[in-house]
Amino acid sequence: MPFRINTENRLATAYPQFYDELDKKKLFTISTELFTFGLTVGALYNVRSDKKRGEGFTRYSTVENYPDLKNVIDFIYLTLTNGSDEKDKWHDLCSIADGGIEIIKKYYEAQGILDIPRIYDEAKKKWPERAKEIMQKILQEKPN
Amino acid sequence: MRLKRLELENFRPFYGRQDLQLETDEEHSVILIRAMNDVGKTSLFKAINFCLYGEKNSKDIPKNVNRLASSKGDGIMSVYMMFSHDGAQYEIKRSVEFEKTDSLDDKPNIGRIRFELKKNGVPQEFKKNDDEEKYVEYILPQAASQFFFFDGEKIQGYTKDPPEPNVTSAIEMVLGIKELLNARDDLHALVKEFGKELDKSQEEHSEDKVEATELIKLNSENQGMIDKIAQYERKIIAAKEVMDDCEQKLATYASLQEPLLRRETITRKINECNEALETIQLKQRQFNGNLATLMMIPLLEILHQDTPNFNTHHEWEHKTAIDVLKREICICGKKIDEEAKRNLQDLSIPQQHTDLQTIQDITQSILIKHGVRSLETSMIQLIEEKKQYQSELLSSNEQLETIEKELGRNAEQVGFDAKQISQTMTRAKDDKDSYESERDELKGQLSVKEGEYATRQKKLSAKTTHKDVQIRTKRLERCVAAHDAINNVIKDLVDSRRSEVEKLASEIFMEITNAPEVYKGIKINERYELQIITRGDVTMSAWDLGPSAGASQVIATSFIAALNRFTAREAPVIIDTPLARLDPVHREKVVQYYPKIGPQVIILYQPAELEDKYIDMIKHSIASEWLLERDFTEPLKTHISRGR
Repeated sequence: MPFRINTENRLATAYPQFYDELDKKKLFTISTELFTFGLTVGALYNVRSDKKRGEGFTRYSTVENYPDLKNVIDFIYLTLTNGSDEKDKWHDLCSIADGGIEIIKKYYEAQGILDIPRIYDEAKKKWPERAKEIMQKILQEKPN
Repeated sequence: MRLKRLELENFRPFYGRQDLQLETDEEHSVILIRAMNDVGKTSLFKAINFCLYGEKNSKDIPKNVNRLASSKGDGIMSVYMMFSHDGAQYEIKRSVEFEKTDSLDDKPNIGRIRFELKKNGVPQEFKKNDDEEKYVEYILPQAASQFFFFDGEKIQGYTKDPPEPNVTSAIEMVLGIKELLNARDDLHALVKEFGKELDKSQEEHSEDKVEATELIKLNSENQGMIDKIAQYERKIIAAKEVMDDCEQKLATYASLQEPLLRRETITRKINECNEALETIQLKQRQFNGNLATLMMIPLLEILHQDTPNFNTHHEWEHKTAIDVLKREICICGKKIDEEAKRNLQDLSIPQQHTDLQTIQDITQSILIKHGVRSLETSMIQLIEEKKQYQSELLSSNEQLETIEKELGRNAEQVGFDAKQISQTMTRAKDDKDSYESERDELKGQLSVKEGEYATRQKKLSAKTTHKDVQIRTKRLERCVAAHDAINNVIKDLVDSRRSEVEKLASEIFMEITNAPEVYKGIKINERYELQIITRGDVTMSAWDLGPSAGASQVIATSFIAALNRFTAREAPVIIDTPLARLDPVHREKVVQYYPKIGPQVIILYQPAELEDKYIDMIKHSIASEWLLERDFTEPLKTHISRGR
């Protein structure tokens, strides 16, 4: 079956205050941008957050209006999420996103700013090794 | 008089209590007080005058109260001075109670005004305010104080046309012949009084009653003219004050032009930087929408390079499944059961849009759309742009802070229109000229009328035989003779002193001029105007040299220094802003002469006027140095501290 994410799934976080703080600073246009940023950082460092999340701030259906963000979510959903069913995989996706948010939050609180160049530079160093792990995981997965 | 200490409390910009120790001795006679423009030099100058003489007009007292102090609550403004004079130690304190104001802009209401004077520690009792004034006048008459306490900008008044202050008055005042001057004035008043009494007597006793009545009328008219002349004199003084005030404001405005322009430019630049940074922030926000993609690209680049593995793996799976389905035993050796068959069948069907295919599609889609480097390049460009503007903003803010300090309090107050001030000044000058013209005309008429009056009075007295008239006529004649005699004595004294002052002023001038090869000396002519003599024996009026020329200021300084040598009363020489208009050569020479000007010389200067190299020239004569400074964010709080 072709891949498909339930459009009713909600993007959720355990760190709504952090989202609000960056929103006040006008660093992002929509919360989904921060979510996907967190998702990529979480994917890079292979971290997950076990903090309890809220009900979610937006549906997956809204992400379809943002092709770039949808691509990132879909990619990580397909390559890295664990779970026996779609619901589990979606929860796993949100925990990866929050894992990344925890790392971003640490950077932000240490410097008082979102030091994107630094985060990116460290990502470039770390991706080659992480890419091997992801590649192996992709190839081990059975196709639908 | 030798100043020892000055203490200010809430006086003008001096908030709270501020203290200046002004002790000097024979070898160390100079005190230097340094301050930027409009920090309080002139206020210090005014404090000394206020302490000694108060304010002519009580309405002017509130403006001396520090606004910050009055905005905070009721309080006291005071100036205390300790000084020695004629072997005694004096302490004077003039204090004023004030009420709290609602805002910094309001002038406070004034309450009790107190004047306290101690001599050798003993408080002096005064029954009337007049007695206080007379006591201080005895120490240093207010009219004479202007020849000891100098506004450097006004020193040049001696070299103006006509001289202002009056050179004759200067010599008279410092000669210490006040008793003679008082006698002259008293006799002048007596002449008037005796004249009136004679007129009355003649009206009563003369045979020619008509003439007697006419004389009274003539005298009254003359008195009317005298009163009108006095009125014009007051108007002329008022117009001059307006002109001086305008001149000062324009000078301040002119001196602030350059820093004001710089401030405007820098403020504009700051605004531009802020606008640019706001734009960058918007761009940053838009860019941050691509952060996830930016972070993914290094991974996708690696995966894309390894794409053959995806395809190879997929194709291998497909082909192998087809091949194994043909067998009963799998390549691993196990029997292919029903479940295995189903799985193999799934694998054997060429599937479009498997997860792997989707992953590959997404990878390609992102890489094609954004390229490998373009997002990274955009990020770097944004950062560089932001850094550049932040750096410019920081630098501009630092420059602005420096300029604000330079401008001082004037920065806020310079909102007035220079053109308007110029117009006001022109009007005041026109008024002054008009009043002077009308006054001079009246003086001419008065002179004729007074002559007529004297002649007719004499004639009438000669005709009248009544004893009372005869006695009063004689009394008047003696009084006039006494007045003329004293006047002549004064003239002779001043004239003899004129030549002595002229000689010394000339020597001093030659010592401090920067062109001794051009000039020969100074002359004070019969009309008591300062003139300069060239080596070619050409005499020029001081004002012909130009008001801003260094020589003009040097002439005036030489005159003041000479005057101080001849003064019958010792007083500190206090000069406010003495060197602003002098070129470097003149400046050096004048500075070197400071210790010789008087027994105590206090110089109030701006940093640019007296650089360290000049101060070093007279360091052995300096008793102390003081600094008036103010944080430009608190314009109503000037602080006095020792040092430079």
